[in-house]
Amino acid sequence: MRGWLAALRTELRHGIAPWVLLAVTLTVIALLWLDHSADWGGRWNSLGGFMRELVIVLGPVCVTLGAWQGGRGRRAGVGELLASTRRTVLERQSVEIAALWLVISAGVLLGWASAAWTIVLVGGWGTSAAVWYLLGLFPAVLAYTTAGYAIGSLAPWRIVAPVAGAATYVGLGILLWSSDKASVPMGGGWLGGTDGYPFDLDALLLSLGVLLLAALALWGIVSAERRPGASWQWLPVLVAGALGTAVLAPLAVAAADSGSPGLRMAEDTPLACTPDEPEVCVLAEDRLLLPETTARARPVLERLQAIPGAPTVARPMRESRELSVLGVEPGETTPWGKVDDEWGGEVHIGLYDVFAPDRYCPTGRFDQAPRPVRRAFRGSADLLVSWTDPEALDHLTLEEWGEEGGNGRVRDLGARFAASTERQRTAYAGAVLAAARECDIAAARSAVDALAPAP
Amino acid sequence: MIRTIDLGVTLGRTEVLHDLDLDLGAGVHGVLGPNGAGKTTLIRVLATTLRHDRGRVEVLGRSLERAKGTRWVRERIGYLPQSFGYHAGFTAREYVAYLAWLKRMPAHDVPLAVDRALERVDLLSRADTKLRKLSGGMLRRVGLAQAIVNDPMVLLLDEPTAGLDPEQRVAFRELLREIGVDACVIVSTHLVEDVAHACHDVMIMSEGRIVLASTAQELAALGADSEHPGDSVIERGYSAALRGARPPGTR
Repeated sequence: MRGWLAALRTELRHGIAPWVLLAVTLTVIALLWLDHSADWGGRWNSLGGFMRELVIVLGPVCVTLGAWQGGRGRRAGVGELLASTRRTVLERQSVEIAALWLVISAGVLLGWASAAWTIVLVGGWGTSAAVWYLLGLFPAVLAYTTAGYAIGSLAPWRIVAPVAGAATYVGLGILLWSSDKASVPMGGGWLGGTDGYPFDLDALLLSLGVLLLAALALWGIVSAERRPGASWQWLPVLVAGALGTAVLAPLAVAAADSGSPGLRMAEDTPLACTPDEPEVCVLAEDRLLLPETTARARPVLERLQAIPGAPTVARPMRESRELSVLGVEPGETTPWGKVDDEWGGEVHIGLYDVFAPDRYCPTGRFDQAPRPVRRAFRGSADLLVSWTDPEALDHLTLEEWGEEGGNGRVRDLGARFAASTERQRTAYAGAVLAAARECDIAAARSAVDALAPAP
Repeated sequence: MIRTIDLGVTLGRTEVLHDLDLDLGAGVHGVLGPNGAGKTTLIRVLATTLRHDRGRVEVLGRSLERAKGTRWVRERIGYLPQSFGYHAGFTAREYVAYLAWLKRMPAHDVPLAVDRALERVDLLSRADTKLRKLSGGMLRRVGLAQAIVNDPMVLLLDEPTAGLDPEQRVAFRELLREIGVDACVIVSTHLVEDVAHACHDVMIMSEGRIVLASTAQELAALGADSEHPGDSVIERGYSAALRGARPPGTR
């Protein structure tokens, strides 16, 4: 062990390690402070997005450095001498890869350390799930470094390292931003995608497993010893890597694809709530976002107060049908929700289901209604969200509903609603909510018809 | 310590070594010969970096035909290849220690062994200098230091004195004689003078065969009354041996 440590120490001191440490630390700090300093104040989803960006940047960096290191021996012409020594190629190369991995990881940690004080300032780390985000990066770094090393061993020329890094950057960029499924085995899908895949520990572990095994297989192939009297030590690595990749890759994609279970919140999940009324709660791990959430939720709650049966408190949604629950869209405030750069990690209130008949109707019953009726019912539910929560995402403003809201029937409804008084709107909202709760299509149509005629 | 029977190596379509029979014990053995004679190929086979195609090779009693034997041998040999590569960022001490680790020396023995090896090649004062800052002769001595760091029972040196100044060559020969007391040292070289002064016996190779195996004194005697080219008796002896091996009518 002492010998291994001495060899490792030598690599760390006199290889490219010191420069790597500096470069990675500066890169992480730059990414962190230029674009993501606020994330460390409790926006764990956005932090997840940051980790995703780190993979895009660090992956190519690891491949470049690995390729440079992998080609070093052949460029220096030490192959003949090293081939006469007792240790296997795998033993020798593992020290070189380990040194690179350690130094890149140290660079990342140093970068994070620069952000740690903001966490201390805002009063806490937040959530254990965030730790997975962070730790998940290190196996990914190892995998990319190993893959780069294998490439460098195969093609030792200096130009190969930057070219391999650039190719990785382009490839990762395309994969990560175009297809969440394709990016899963590349170490990116586990971060959650723009299509709303939630954080899933199984998918994380599987994707990292795939990545590592694929890199090991590649390493095994190119490091296969061909010198006389070589051991076949690499063969199990190669076989395990290839088999593992083949078995785990589809599982990783499937695990990420079926991520909805990650959204379920256990009944005993601790919450952090405001002491005064109307009550607003967030998950305890998101407590740093409570003031912001409260500021967004209270105007909505005040508008809902006059509607019989409407939610009176704002809480993270559970898998329940309690009408008293005003959904705080988990995707925007919890680490297992979706990352959405477009929305910048802001807190959003999700009222989408409150007036929607789909939520209350027994399976299939709502779908049996004629299509125009279903569309009108859904349109009226969306219209009410626009009214109760003017900042609701992807929703038209009240004025826009009358001009471009869906089909003619919905447009007409929008125009009539916009022209109504506040009292009429409240009455209409109560009628729609009651109809939705009863899954009464006829009552919903009556409510729509009863709304004031268009001006 | 080294025994070969009908050793043959073919590289591509060229038969580089033909049925070599060797039986070498402790001592310093010189291998002379023109370019392409097969000296480096022979050294590489013994250093376990090149597999032979025919015949048998035993080093320290272990057959190189078996992987286990080869691995065992690798721990006990020292090798300085003709082209000595190095990691420029390492210091001399680190590089020799790195090679000691690759040879699986016990970790607790390495620091002392490294210092001793560097001292024997007169480089201890530059032990902490990075290799990129050393001269060609110094690098060659670092190469020699890594070859002897594990006190090898078999030391294989391919053109070890290339780049050494006269004073260093004298010191180097002295070192070879010292090591050769207990170990089997094989020195492949173009420099006949090195062989004359450092080697107990000499093998002259030509076209993959050993055309003369004798002591250095016998080789000198061969050149004593010879009119073959050479500035010294041993060089003339070397020329005479080569000429004698060539078929009549060739130069």
